[in-house]
Amino acid sequence: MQDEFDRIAAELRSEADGTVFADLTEAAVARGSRPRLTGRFRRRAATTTAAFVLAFGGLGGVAYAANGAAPGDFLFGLDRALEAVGIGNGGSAERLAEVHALVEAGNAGQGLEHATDSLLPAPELAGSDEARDALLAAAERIAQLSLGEAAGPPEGVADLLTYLSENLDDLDGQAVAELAKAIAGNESAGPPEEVPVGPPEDVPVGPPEDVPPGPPIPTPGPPVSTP
Amino acid sequence: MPPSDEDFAARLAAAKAGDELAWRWLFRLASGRVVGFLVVRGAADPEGVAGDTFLDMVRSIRRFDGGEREFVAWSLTIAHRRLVDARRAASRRREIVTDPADLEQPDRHDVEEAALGMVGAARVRRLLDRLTIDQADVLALRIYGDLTLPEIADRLSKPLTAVTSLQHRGLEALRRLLADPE
Repeated sequence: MQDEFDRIAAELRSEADGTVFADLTEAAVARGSRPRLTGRFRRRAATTTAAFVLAFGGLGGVAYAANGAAPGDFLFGLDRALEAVGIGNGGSAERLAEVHALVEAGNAGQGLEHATDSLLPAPELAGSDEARDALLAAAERIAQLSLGEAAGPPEGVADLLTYLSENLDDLDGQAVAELAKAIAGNESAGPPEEVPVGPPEDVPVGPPEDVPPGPPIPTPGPPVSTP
Repeated sequence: MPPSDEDFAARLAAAKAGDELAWRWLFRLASGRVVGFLVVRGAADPEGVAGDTFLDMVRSIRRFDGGEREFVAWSLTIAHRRLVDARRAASRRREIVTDPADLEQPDRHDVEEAALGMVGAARVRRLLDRLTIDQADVLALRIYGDLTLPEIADRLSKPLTAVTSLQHRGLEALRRLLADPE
């Protein structure tokens, strides 16, 4: 029996040492902090992975898992561990690269969530709350539309990424909010077959801040003389 | 090729100093064993417990001293502690309500373990699930940590005679299960 046990033990050790997990671990350390997926996205990712594994099983499932999000929950824990001791935290440039990676992978909603969590100005700075709300609304909008990779990043996301890239060290919360609102309010972000019904990009959404609600106030002017 | 003792000592020293590459190397060394152990021991959330394990390792690496084998054994010891914590937490919030729909679903463990590339571990888990917790712990620590019986006795805070007996009974049970899986 000892021989049989030794054989099983050797097989299991070999499996453990050769698992994709080791690669995932190394990737996690190399990347430092990874996108924090919210509960909604985590659940979706786990469900997707489970469905894929069930459908294809075996190595197909394992290979998918290496790139999928479910093992990411473990990576998230590892990231926490490393950041706790100041390892692997690449700062805002790395966070932005992660946002880009998510968007390019067809996960624009997750990208915006990650930007919300990791890039916005400090909460006490003007516009930060507005930017947070607008980014999350845009992420929610994208999630509702269930945009796939084939649809490409929704309109307005590229503008937001450009702004973030060019102003990474000095982000203005209100500027981020405006760009995010453009994404959330842009109906052309929907599936291609939908007819855009939103305002054109260059028309500001809602009344300007300095215009009070209500009927327009008559503008006084010189009396018009009639002949 | 396994690392030399000098290699390991140098990487360990670098990791203690916060070197990222050294941490990558150390995690690569231990991660598969840690997750394999957690899968075999039926952790409900092996990824989460593994994350907690690594968090502890990072926090306490400065107190660790030893070679590669000791490092793997140390990581398994921490994983076992975190697993016990997770079991306690789960038992506190356990609800004895089973949704009938869940009974129609495939075993959640099977799906997750396949996703982790731990198919062999999943198979052994099903066998160890039929042993007592102590027997299964002893066998799993032997398998993944390659711990000696005195080391296991020390880690589990049990007398050596008790651990020897647990291993003996566990192996006997395993033999019967392997001979007659049904």
